[in-house]
Amino acid sequence: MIPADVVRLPAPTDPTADSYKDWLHLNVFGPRDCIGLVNVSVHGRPADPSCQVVTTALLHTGDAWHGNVVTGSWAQAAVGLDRIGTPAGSVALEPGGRVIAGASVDDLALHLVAAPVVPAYPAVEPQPFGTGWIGWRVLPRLSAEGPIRIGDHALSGGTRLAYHDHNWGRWHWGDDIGWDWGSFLHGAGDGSVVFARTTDRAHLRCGSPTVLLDRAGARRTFTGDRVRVEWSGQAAPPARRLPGAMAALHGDHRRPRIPAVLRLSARSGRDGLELEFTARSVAQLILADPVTAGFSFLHEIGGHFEAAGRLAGGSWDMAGPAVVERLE
Amino acid sequence: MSAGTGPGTGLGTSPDQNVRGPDRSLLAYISELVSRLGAGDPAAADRLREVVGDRRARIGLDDVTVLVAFDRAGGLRIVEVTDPDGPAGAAVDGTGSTTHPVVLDLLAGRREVADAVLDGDIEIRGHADAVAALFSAVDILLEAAARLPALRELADEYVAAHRRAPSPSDLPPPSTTRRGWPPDLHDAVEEALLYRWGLRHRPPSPSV
Repeated sequence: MIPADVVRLPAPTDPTADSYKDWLHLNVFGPRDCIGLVNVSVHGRPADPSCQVVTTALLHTGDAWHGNVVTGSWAQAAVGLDRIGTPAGSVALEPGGRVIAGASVDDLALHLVAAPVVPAYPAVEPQPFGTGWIGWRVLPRLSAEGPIRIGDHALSGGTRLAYHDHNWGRWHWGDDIGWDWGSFLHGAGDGSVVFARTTDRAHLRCGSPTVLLDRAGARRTFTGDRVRVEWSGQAAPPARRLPGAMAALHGDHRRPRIPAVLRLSARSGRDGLELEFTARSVAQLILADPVTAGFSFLHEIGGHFEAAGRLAGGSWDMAGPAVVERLE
Repeated sequence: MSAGTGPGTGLGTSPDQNVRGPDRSLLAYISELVSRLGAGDPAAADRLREVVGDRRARIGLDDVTVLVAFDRAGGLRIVEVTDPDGPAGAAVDGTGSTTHPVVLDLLAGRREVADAVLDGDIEIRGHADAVAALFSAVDILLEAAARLPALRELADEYVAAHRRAPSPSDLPPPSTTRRGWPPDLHDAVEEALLYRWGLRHRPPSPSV
């Protein structure tokens, strides 16, 4: 039984609530090389007129990013301990670990029920993040079912792979913050890798990296000096920048220098992995802080990965579609 | 909690797909834009008036054209022009024109402003300071829209009113009017000056 996760709403008297951030996130992989995400997030002091509740629903089908970002106010949203919902979409958490995600944004409509295949990782204790902090809880591999439609075209059904996490904390978009994150799910069998580290905005000062490896019921966490991270190459400019109005405001971020290749290497005792991810397409999400005048730029990088290593006495290899994020 | 239509937990439609607001004209949209800016962010509205100053602009969207200016008291003066080339359409400091499909593509993040300009789908004309003022005014409105729900709602209303049916590969059609960069200049003295200062890599035409 997976303990229930909860939305971490701040107390009414919390003096840091202006910088409150909280989101429920689901990635879905498939059919074929499709990579999608549904994310519903709260930005700022709940119930304040400045508070924003944002729905992001995107699907990359190999030729284009479908969906959009819809920004609304707290008054338009339904936020509880187990869900964040807006008229455009919602993500809800069930006590057994199931994640229910639905969205209807632009040409993309989906309704997914994702059940965990492996246990959730314990929530990470809040870590320093810019002038604030960030917390994180991960369900690295789920099995998702449900319809996905692009316009009038229904994508082929069947079970898809999914990843879920929940982030919360206190910071302002536009602060000197960044992160690298990636979800890599073996498409043809069991196995998943999750990578994460916080950085400064320029990705010059990096926090301790974390790699979570799951396969065949075994699990291993690699951190700190046991992990090597290498970015190289340059990806093509973002194929879409959202919201469109923010993209128009930030023409200077039209061609960011986003690396195209990520290589991870992790080693601890006899266990370890080597992973290489290659970017295929980038979508840029422009995040405006509702309180300060700052903006951050989150790059959703869809692509493909291959990995191999050892875990619990056995060798393994994995491959499949993957998504990496780079925040700056 | 929610005062709206509730969370989208299924395959329902988002509000901008099935709620069509009042059928506003271009004049009404611009008036409402400035009004909501003033109500939500008076400082930004003051910056907008300061940037625009006493300039007059002609704004065109599809086949509708309006003249826009601020009066001395800071009030918005806007009038629809039926003959842009006639006397009422003259004496402006700058002009800007585009179409509904281009605006929709920009708001959907499917197209960049720079690309639309180079494709000839957004036309901006005027003296350099007037063009700069026009872009600064747009920046002020966009930045305010990031934080003012009332401006976002107006944009959603516009999208709902003018949205076209999306398709699975809804990409902008290839342009046949893409201009090169840098654009050809018609002022030979300007060409020579920019080349001499290293701001233009093509030498001026032989006639200079």
